[in-house]
Amino acid sequence: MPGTVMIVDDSQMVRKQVARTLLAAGFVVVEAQDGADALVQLSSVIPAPALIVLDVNMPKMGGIEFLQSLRGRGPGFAMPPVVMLTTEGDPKLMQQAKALGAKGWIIKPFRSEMLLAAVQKLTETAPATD
Amino acid sequence: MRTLVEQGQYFAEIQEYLVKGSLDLFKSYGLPVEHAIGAPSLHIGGPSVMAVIGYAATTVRGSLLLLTSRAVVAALQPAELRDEPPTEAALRDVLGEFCNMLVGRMKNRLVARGIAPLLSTPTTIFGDDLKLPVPTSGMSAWQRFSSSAGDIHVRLDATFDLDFALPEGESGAPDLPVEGETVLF
Repeated sequence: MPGTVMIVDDSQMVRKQVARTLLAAGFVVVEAQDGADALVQLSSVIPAPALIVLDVNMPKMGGIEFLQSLRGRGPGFAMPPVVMLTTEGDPKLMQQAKALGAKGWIIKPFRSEMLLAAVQKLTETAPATD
Repeated sequence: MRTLVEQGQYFAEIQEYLVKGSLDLFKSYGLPVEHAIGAPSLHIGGPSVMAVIGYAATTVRGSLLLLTSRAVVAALQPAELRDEPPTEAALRDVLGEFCNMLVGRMKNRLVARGIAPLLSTPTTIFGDDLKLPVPTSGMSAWQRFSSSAGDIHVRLDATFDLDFALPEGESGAPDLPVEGETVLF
């Protein structure tokens, strides 16, 4: 059964596009406008999101910094799968995100069916990791 | 040390990435455009929206600027989001995201050639009767893209250090993902 997906992106246009795709597939969606906002919301979202869709370049706190912050929560924190959704295709950034626990990388502009396929695959098969 | 001629060639190559990226990007959002070289400076009458993103690598820095009418930005909105009249915030956001996607495409081509600039987040401007003079330093060029909804103006500014070089070809990173591609780790 679809769970809750957190969308973290400073663009309202992108958040709306992603939300419409996921809502149509039965997911519950919560939105955050940057990494700092997402950290605050993660403390209050019940149940915890089954997956996070995360931009890289954002004001206040970017995606890589957000991942670092999640990793810094220690082994007691069950980190949900994270899919990066960004205009960036820099392999160094991809490796950095992967090393911090990200499970996927999609380069904008995205196609709804490909995003949905990635989200469904990761929410069905990937257990939360720390 | 590079000559001004060599720097001009690099600038032209980067602009080619920008033109190709613009044609592909606007078309993918349902607004096919035709390209023409723009004027050195620009004066846009009427209500307009502008978005700027800065970039910086070790030996090159500058900005990418998009300027167009509010009607064009409204036409660029994804179809599924056009269910209500766009607010100022929505128009700013849409053009900022297009600027982001365009500078991202430019960056990804540069990454393939060994240059990896860092990008700023977008700054957007909402106003009437906008005038943009020719920059007084570095290199700068406008490109104009005509569409059924109106013109979109794209400006690239770049300042190169004397030791900047753009390595030949894209063989340095053959496995780079492309726009729209999904990579699962």
